[in-house]
Amino acid sequence: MAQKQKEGFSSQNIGSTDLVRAYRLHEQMLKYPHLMGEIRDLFFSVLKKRDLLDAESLRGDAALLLEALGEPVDEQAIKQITGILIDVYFAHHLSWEDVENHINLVRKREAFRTLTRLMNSEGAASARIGKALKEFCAIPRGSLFIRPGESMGVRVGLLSRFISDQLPFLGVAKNHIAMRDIDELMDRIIRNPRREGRIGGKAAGMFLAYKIILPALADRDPEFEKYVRIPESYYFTSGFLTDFLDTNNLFWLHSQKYKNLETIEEEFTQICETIQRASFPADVVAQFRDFLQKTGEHPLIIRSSSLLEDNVGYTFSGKYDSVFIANQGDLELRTAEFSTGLKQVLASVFSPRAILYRKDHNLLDFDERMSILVQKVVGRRYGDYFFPTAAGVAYSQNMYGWTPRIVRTDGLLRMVFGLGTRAVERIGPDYPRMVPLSHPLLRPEVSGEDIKKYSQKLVDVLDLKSNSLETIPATELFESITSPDLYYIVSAEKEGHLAAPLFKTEKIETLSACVTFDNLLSKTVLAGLLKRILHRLEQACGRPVEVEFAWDDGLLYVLQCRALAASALVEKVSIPEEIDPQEVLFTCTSVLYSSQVEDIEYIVYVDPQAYGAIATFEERLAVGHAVGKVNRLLEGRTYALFGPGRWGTNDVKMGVKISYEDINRTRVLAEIAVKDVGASPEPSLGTHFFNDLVEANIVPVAIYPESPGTVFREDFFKNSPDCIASLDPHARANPIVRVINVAACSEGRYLQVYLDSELQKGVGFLGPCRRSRFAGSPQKEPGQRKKEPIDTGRP
Amino acid sequence: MKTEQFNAFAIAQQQIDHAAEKLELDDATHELLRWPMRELKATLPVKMDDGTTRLFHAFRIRYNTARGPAKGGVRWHPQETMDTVRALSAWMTWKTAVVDLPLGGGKGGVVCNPKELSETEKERLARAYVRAIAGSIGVTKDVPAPDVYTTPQIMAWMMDEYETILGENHPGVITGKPLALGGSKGRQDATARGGVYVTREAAATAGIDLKGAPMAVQGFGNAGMNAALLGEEILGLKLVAACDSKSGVYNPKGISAAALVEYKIRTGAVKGFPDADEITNGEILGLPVTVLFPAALENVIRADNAESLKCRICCELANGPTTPEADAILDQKGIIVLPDFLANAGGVTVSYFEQVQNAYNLYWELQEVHWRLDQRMTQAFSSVHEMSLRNKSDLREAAYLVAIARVAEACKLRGWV
Repeated sequence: MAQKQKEGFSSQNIGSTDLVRAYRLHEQMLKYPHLMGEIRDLFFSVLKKRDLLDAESLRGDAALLLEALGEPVDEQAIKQITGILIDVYFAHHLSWEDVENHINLVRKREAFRTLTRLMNSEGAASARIGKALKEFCAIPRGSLFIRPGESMGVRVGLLSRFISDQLPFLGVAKNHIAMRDIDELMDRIIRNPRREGRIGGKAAGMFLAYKIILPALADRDPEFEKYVRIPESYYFTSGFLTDFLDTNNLFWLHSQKYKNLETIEEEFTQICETIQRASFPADVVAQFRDFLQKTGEHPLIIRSSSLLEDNVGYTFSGKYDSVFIANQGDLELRTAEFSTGLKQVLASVFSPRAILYRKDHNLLDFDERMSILVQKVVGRRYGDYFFPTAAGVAYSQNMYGWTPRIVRTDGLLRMVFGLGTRAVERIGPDYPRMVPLSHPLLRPEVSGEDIKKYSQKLVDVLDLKSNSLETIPATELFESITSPDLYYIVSAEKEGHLAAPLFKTEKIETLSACVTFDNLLSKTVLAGLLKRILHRLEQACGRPVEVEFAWDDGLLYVLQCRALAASALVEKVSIPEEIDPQEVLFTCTSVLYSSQVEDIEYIVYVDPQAYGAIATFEERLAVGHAVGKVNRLLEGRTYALFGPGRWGTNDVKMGVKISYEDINRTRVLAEIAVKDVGASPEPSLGTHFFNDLVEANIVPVAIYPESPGTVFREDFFKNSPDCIASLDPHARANPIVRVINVAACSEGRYLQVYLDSELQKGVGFLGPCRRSRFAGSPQKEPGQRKKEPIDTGRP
Repeated sequence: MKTEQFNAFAIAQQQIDHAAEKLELDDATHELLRWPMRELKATLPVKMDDGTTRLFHAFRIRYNTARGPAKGGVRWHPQETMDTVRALSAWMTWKTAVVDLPLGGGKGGVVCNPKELSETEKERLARAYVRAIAGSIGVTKDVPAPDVYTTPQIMAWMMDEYETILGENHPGVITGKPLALGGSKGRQDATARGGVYVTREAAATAGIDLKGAPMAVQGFGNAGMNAALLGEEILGLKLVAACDSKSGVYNPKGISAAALVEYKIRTGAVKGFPDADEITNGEILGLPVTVLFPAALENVIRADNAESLKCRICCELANGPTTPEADAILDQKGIIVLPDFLANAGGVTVSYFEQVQNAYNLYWELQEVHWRLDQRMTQAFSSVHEMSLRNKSDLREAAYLVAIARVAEACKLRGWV
């Protein structure tokens, strides 16, 4: 070693080029005089680690050199010469790129120290931290990094300060979001001049998903990088809402949530009006104007991104508003339109459905603050309309399997033509395309007639002329869509047979066309891509996920990502083998997910025939209200709700129109398919309504009484006495909505419901109390709606 | 050979027994006609998309080829059985004979659930089926066609596989192909058109004036829609009512067939069609119309509702819309029932035309297809009508007698019996 160094020091080995390199290196170091010592220490440690130098031989070389110069060999001189020698040796042994990388690493460490200090000092303003982060990120990335272990603390600090402090989020995000990613995000955060705030759950979830799918460093996937995008997004922090309420003296609204539900319902319209009348401060309006000038005249969606929203276990699915704006024309008009939209989203914090949801999930005391996520709407303009080719919801776990061939863990798409709003809401007599990702082209319908019947008929689009969200017949759009988009969307009748077009330029018979997405699913990467994305996201989040997406012009846009409460989705249930056939109340042959609900005390039965006989819209609507009332009466009881067609539809002809809060206390939500009454039960999977059911542990059941082998004891439901009076002496019996005390009608037994999705079998039967006798009987212990804490994934 | 009791094949055999008695057939001929002449059962291993292999059971039956190569569809159905295929192949034999096509009868089936198969799996299954039966199909032996859950696309794959095996061009091995691969023009409305032609002949024979007379269409799918359009165009009938599986529309003053068809295609249902009253599927049968086209499902005209029928002619475009009990009631009421296997034989006739065009490699214009179909159907009705007069039987029985007599004649001439 010493020999090697001596040789290295000799004029034979240190050539003139090394001297030029050493000079340049020194020049580079001189740019950072305060870091010179640290840089040299790093150089030395690198040379030592590579076995090119050690302290002793370095000192020996320095002494020899001083002797050769005829200068005294003292400590100070040795120190000076060893410094020069380190530079010369480093320049000799390592490349110029290594020189730059190591100098930059020292600079990064310095910037990182500043950041750490600021993060740990109380009261440091976000702006200062942001500036320090920017300085850090301004240093070229290079190939040498601060070790993940060292940077983790600051990363978590930054994440919780700017994005979200929810532990489940941080637990996942800290492994995927790098400091530079946070800086990239900061460039898109718009801050209120007076109030601090974070970007909220939806924005956080989306950004995290983006970084899991498209990481900057490890695990990069060329196919993802080629096809996956996130829409251009901007984040208005929660400070805007706080500032808005402050400057308009509306802080009293914060206690709105503690009022009783009826009052909240009554006052909500008033609150919306008050909020719309109030104004944003002038400097904030100027911020909006600047923002809109930058984004240009492109349609925007203003989405809620509350601090609680989309956190693991609480999706707040559809509880807060999202508003589309056309964003066309005069800047002042656009600013006004933007402010109105923003206020509408802010107001939804005080909506009864949001407050009830928080109450149901024990989140009422949390100081919920609304941030806003503004995204450019994915799509293209066709005439006055703006929409994407396809959009929808993708599930990492597929609970909708009509054949055992479908692989549950490969996921499912619920996809629509046009804006995805039709995929997330439970729509009337219309059908999104359900795509099992293990077999994307498989569908339960075979004949062309059935495929047409169960295809999407209406499309949500943004009308740029009227600045409104419109629903129009798909066939109207087929005419205006140019090739090749229609090729991907439809199948059409050809010689009496429904088939996807063979060519992009083929003339399509639009009158007979219907939305199938057959070519989109078989001729593009979409299905395979989403399957892999869902796998990756689920693996990263450690639980099933749901992704909102749009596909347009050959690119896949990830709009939103939520981690779901997993408990309800993966349960394994075995149906008891020996059930007395006399005791069976219903059976079903299509099960969305396995579940077991025991000891149901009450049945609420909406008589399908009686409902079908109702002539007017208002009377049908009243049935929904009656169900809501019974639901409130049965608080603390275990009950199962049975009714015709599709629950939660917005078309009263298809089923009973109710919202989540009208049925939130039931444990089982059964849809009965009765001819000529309502629609056939349709899997609501992927809709906001379905998310509500999953989170609230409400089990969906579809009963087809007329299908062979199915049991449905209509007599029990129709003829058992109505016990509404025992629950509320003032309540009047309603012949359409009957409340049955199961035990009173079955000699003390209860309704037991077992659903096995693997076998696609379900049964509801009357059986003795199943819970341990030590737990007491349901009558003695009325708090039976299992108030299980929802698995939030929190440690 | 044993067959299960109460199955479709048992019914088919009973029909033959009845006809044999009426025709006073000798025992050997009678017995020969009771059984399929050649049955093929195959097990098809098919590679699935996930790399696994699944076995499918398949059948192909040539019921009788005395009059020519067998003709009949291939059904893909989870509940497919040998006996169903036997029964259907027998009926195909009578159907080709009643319209006097130089063909025999056949049928095929694959036990599978198309709901569980992807497009690529369907293609592999279609090709596997052809590999299994290639030796026994062909333009001179047996010509398959689309049927339940099989499509022109599946026919195209089958034809391609057959040609690949033989290394030659043989478009006529399968009919119901897409036009681009040798399909025939005029196939789409062939069933309805054939029904309309025999309706015209029946009305002329009975002295019924159809000009401006009301018609009702029960079942508004492909056949029903075309019956409405062609009834108006060819016979001058006035559409007053139509219904689909959901509900129906009625206007005694008349409904434009073209407008209703356009509405149905656009909305997926006839319900809500303007300027018409809503009517149920049951009510449509009892309307005072001259011609009723049942074009939906089997067993819609039953003993419990047959009395309510007020039509003069009931043209069965659907398979088996009338139960035997109802048939007797309609006969008593003097309603002319054009039996299904005559009334809907237009489809198989144009399939035959496809075969002929393939053989010549020369393709006809639409008018030629229509003209030839008209000739065949007119002639068929005439033979059946004549037989009914001669035997004093209803048209259904007469049609059976015509068909079975023709097949029996061919068997005898060949010296089989």
